[in-house]
Amino acid sequence: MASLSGGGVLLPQTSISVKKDAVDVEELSALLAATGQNCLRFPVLRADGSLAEPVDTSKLRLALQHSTVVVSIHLRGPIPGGDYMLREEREQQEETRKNTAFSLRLGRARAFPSLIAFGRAISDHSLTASIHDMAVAPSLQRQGIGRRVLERLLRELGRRGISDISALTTTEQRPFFAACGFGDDELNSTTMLYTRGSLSADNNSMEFGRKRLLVPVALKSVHVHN
Amino acid sequence: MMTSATSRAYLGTSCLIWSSRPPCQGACFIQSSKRGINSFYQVSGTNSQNFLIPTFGSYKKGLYRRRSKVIAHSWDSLRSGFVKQPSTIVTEPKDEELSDDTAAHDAEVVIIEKLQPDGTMEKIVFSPNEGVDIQELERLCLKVGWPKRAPSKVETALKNSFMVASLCLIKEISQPDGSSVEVKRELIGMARATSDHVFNATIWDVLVDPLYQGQGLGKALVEQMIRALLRRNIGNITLFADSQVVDFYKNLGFEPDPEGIKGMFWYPRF
Repeated sequence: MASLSGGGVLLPQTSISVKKDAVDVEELSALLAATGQNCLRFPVLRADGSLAEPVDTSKLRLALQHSTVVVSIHLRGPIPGGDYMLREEREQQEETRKNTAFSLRLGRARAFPSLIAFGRAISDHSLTASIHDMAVAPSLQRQGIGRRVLERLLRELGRRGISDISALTTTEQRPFFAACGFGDDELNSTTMLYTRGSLSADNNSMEFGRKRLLVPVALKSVHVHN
Repeated sequence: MMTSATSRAYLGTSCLIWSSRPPCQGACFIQSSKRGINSFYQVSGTNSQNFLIPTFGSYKKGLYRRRSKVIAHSWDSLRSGFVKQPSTIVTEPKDEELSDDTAAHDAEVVIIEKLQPDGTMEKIVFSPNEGVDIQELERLCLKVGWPKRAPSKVETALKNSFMVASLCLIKEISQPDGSSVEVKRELIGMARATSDHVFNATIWDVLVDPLYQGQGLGKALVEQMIRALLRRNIGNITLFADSQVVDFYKNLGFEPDPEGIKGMFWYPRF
């Protein structure tokens, strides 16, 4: 496996991949949770600020399938500074792996997760793309690993001829993206999210994390006779 | 107005109306919305018009012939859809909440129907996933003043968008036997959304013919798109609005930079 070299600590036994099936969704869900993400824009948080629920792995699997580019960095060996997966999650993962019919690992136990960084992009394959779910294992941050993921994403998108690339960023993520060459829109557009809420829990609204969003009513045919 | 840093080019003129960046241009393509990853479209030219027809299962023949000259890179994205991947088995979620009215959902809806003084019937019809004519979209984009974009790029973009909704003006003449004959069908509005089918969606290229603006058509387009996305459990709906249309989207329930979430864009530094 190639080592990631260049600025920052040299981490032996790491490899970068754009293969979707290189990503174990259980590990990815845990990595995202460790970085405070669960694919919802406004996730439900516990009193201590941590996520109430990690992202559902089957949904995550589908999201990866429908993403244009998926970049992951794996490490062979224990993560310096500590594992991001809790013991119970690790045991659950081993159980799932043993029971999964097509598991390539055939139930061989691994002592530690291998996924240390991740990022994906959604696009229409020609005009526009957006970056989502950037994550680096907490104990390995600020070493240029996230930057490598992002640069690989940009390279893969560039290869497809897509140069209009956006990313929705929280206040904390902004310096990272700025350092990687992202900035305010040249064309001065305003980023807007659908947040219209509904107080009543009925068929006209749906819950997404902390938000209960109002679902617009269906169009009905209208006849106007003069 | 092309900037050197980007090939986006979009926007820029004061005629830009109803749009969320970037403007589309040129051809349009049908979008598959609810059919999942296993439906493919092939282009068939009839009478010098290009229409995309869904072909289930015949993607190998039709698709590669068309796509070979346009896109080699999307092989990966196609491949991921049908090659068995032992460690990650793909199963589409069961959309129980959609099954009861999916047929109604995919159908065209007549928004306005007016009997004209000359006896013809004019209808404005909303189509959530009907075919859109390429040349018509190019004409429409010119009308709202958007700069031209390479038709093949727009073609690919529409093909790979999660949903493309359109508004058509249909003129019908009633026959002596009581039936109606369609004499004209004109594209007067469109909106599209890209998505990962599960969590995130971004709405792009919302446009309505200036002659038909002010009637709530743009609102209907965007609202129905939001409805379709939410009912598919896609809750992160984003768009990037020009300054002229920020209020339009605010009225539809969009919030600028909620909780500090901002959009950033990549600019290659040479």
